[in-house]
Amino acid sequence: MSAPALELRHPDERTAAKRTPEEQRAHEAREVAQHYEHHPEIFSLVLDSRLAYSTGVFASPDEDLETGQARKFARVAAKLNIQPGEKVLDVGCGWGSLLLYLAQHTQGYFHGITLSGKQREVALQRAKDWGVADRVRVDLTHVEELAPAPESYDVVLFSGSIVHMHNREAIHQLVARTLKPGGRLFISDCYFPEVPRGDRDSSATRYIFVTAMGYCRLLSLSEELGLIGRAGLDVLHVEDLSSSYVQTLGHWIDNVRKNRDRIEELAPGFARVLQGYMTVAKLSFARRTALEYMLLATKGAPKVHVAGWPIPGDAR
Amino acid sequence: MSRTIPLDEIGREVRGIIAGTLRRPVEQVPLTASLEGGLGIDSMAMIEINIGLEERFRFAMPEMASPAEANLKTVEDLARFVAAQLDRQTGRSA
Repeated sequence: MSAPALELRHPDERTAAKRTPEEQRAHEAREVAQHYEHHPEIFSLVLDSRLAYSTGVFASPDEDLETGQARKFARVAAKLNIQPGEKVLDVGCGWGSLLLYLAQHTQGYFHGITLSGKQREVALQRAKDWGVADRVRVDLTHVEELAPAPESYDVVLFSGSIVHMHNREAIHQLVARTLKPGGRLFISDCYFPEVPRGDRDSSATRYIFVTAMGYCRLLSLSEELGLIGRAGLDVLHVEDLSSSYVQTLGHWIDNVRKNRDRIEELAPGFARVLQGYMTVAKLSFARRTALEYMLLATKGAPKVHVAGWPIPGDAR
Repeated sequence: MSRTIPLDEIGREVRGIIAGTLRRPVEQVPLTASLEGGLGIDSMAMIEINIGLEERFRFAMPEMASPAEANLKTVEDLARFVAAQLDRQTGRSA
């Protein structure tokens, strides 16, 4: 029996579905990169010191951005449990926030890919500055172009990046092929609720998906989990971070406000785009018309043991 | 510090920012116009107008996806709301 086709929820997804995979890849490479090709100083004024461009993990409402992002890095590192010599592919590595944190805290080998030349430059410079350049490589390519060899990586990461990729079934098949036995897939990204809630075809949705970010395709969680499962991987752990994203976006928006003049100097009009899309996103996560999840899956027998993770609760 | 911008000037600026966001001549945005029913301000337009107001007046507007969320019906309501926010954020008692 063939798998159910993914729902096409927006005019832009219907247009994407008419393109060949090569055409869509070129579209994503061109449109998505534009956002990230803005001057890195802009993002350094808005994000945390490692330049994480996805949600942090907040334990209380008064925590600052740095604390929330540090907790996220530590939590992801614990989830992945990277062993010396293991090979990690970070798809959409951005300016290297998670990639370089993991390089500094493990003895693995790290391969980041991005569609933005500016992000690659920053990531490589930081790898040098932080003394991990010998175990970090960053290439400018789309994951579908990379075509990694079968069973060549122990871990594949998508932190706030898989949402930019239309051909999700092909991506998951590729990831499942490229993981070694015991390999882990990690995703941190946003999803639509299973039942439509709010207006998914509004001008606000289009603003965030197209005007601000170039191309985005939000699936429902069950669609993504289904694709992961059908590719032959087993889901190990799913964690909701929607309320943490509300807090993260609140910090980012405040930083845009504080640095509006400098951002305007570097890229006229971009402060407005940032604040606009971040406000739409914050309202969406607060109202749960969009949901943020961290997903962990394994290829075959897991090398990480989720039952032992410390979540308070007695077995009495 | 007290707000030094008079309400009628805030009203003019609010009309200009709404007109700019909706790409309409400012004459079509009188103070009496209804934000939602008359001008058709949707959630994205509301967010863009609020950012325009923040750029102009250097303060923070509360996040809202529609004028109704702050009980705002007309352009004048929005101008008075901005004035009140400015008073509050610049420390002048209303």
